[in-house]
Amino acid sequence: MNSPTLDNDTGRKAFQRRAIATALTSFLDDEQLLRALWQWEQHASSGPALALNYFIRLLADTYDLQEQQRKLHRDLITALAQPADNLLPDPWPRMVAYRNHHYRTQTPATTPALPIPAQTLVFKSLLQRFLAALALAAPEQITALREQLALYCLQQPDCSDACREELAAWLCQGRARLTLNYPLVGLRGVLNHVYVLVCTLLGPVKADQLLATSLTETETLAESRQFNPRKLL
Amino acid sequence: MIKPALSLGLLALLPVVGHAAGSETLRVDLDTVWLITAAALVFFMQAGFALLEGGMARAKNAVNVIMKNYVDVCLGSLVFWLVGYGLMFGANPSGWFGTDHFLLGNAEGMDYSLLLFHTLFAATAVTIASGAMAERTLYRGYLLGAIVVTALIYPVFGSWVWGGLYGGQGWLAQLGFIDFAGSTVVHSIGGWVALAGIIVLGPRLGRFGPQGEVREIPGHNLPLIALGGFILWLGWFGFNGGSTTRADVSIGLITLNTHLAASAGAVGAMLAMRLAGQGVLMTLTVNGSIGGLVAITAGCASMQPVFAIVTGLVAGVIVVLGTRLLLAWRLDDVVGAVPVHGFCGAWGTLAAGLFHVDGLDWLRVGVQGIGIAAGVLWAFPGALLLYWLLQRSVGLRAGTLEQQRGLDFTEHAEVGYPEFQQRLHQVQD
Repeated sequence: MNSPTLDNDTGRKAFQRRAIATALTSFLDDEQLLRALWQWEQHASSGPALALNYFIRLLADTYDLQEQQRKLHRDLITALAQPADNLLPDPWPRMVAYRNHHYRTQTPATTPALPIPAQTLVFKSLLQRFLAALALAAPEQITALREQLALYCLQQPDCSDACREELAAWLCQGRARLTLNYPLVGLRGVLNHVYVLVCTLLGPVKADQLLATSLTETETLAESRQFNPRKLL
Repeated sequence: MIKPALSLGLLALLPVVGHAAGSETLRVDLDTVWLITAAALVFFMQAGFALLEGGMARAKNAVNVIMKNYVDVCLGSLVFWLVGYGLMFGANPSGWFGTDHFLLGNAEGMDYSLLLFHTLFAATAVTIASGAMAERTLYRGYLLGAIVVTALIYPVFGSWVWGGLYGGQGWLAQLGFIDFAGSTVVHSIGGWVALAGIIVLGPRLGRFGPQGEVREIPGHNLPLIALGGFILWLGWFGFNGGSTTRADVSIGLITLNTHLAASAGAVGAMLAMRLAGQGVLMTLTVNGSIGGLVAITAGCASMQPVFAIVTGLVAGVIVVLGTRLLLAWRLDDVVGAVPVHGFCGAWGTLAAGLFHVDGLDWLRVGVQGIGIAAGVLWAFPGALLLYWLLQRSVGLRAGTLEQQRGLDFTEHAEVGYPEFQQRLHQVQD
């Protein structure tokens, strides 16, 4: 699995991952390191410089490293200032493998007592149809696209951790359900990201056609009377 | 006896003197009428650009394309009156820029007519970039860029070639540089600004695949493209013919050369497409004509018709090859503005030196080369800096959500074809 191909800062993010992995190997075991790298991806990799301080506090709280915060800070700063040749290889492939394994072994969520929000149902229908249309147009691309989308969802800044986890699990598993109340801006972001991926894979003309077809089909569903699917665009 | 004879003689002269004074007034009046008529034709070229560019864009971005063309002539006109005309045509003792005639008022003679005519030339130059940068440019960024192009980039270069109307002379003009109606001054400058714009912007979403494969994004209305091409052709009779600023017989050669070059440009493009083994596309054929028009603009007053045909023919070929070159460089120019205006403008400027009616003079050709290079070195880096600053400040490239929704909706809260496109949102969030 390649690093995200659509991220304009791919090189910068890869360097950051290598530096963080290099710095943290002396503090964390292998599984903890991969989780910590995902926490970096989710919370800090796109943010300003102060995000590093937040990340260090998060590590200290999560892995009981309060006593070693200063050394942690020093080692991270040192690693981020190193030339790339001195750093460990990009841990992205191991991170992806860890996440895919982590979600495939999770048990599906149980049926919640609360009704599922209409916008969640409409979003699920629209995205399913979009992905189904893509599967017909480019069957060899659909698995990779679902995985890329799941990884994007895990980094989605406008959703809570629970929403991110549920969405990623739904995309990677066949039986998981979407049950939570997702923020509209987050759902739009996910749909737009699918659109961008399809533009890259098949071109913008095909992407517009598939989206329009999926939208038309979704509008015939009962839940679309409660929530207009066009609000997701 | 002498006094009456003298008086009678003077009386006899009165009709002659009166006739001469009346002729001069009539000449100025005729020149003014021709200049204003030509200005109106040049103004109508904005409609041609709007239709051609709008047709080449997708339906969801058509309104945005039109709005860029419509408003950049509005803003550009105000800015050119404010500062551009003075920079370009004001007294130019240094040879590098004008120093007076800003905010023109209390003018004399044909000044107002000249200001109008050249305002529309400035509008033409600035709108060239709009087509190249279509479908992924934020409206505010584009308009700010248009203001700077009209206020600074275009008039300063123009002052080097046409400056000094009120004293002094531009340094390129002093060298003997020939650009009768603006192959370089208007079109190449616009083309290099467009090139800078598409480099800073990047391509439209999905235009190039992960391995660099080219994805076609067809325009939504090909008849509009053809109509735009026809209108531009018509307007060019005013663009080139009006550059005499006089209603005299020279307009005949100028407009004939203009027409022949446009015709040959289309033929050149069609031949190039056939030789390249591709279908003869309407869009490239129309662009071939426009390339011919751009190319002949420099030398339309100073070459024989046979060379106008050669100039146009070569321009048509350049359009086809230039379009392929940009794709090979993975540069996304929606309408082909860079090959049509940038490359053909440079070729036409060179052709004005090669095919001059006075014969081949390599010194003259060398001066043409200097002028072409000066245009590139002034406009391209300046525009790169301009668009880079705009991207870093107010933003220039539309985000992925805007490109998905279409700029008609995100920038203008309208759609171009409401009966065929449903609104993306029933209500604004």
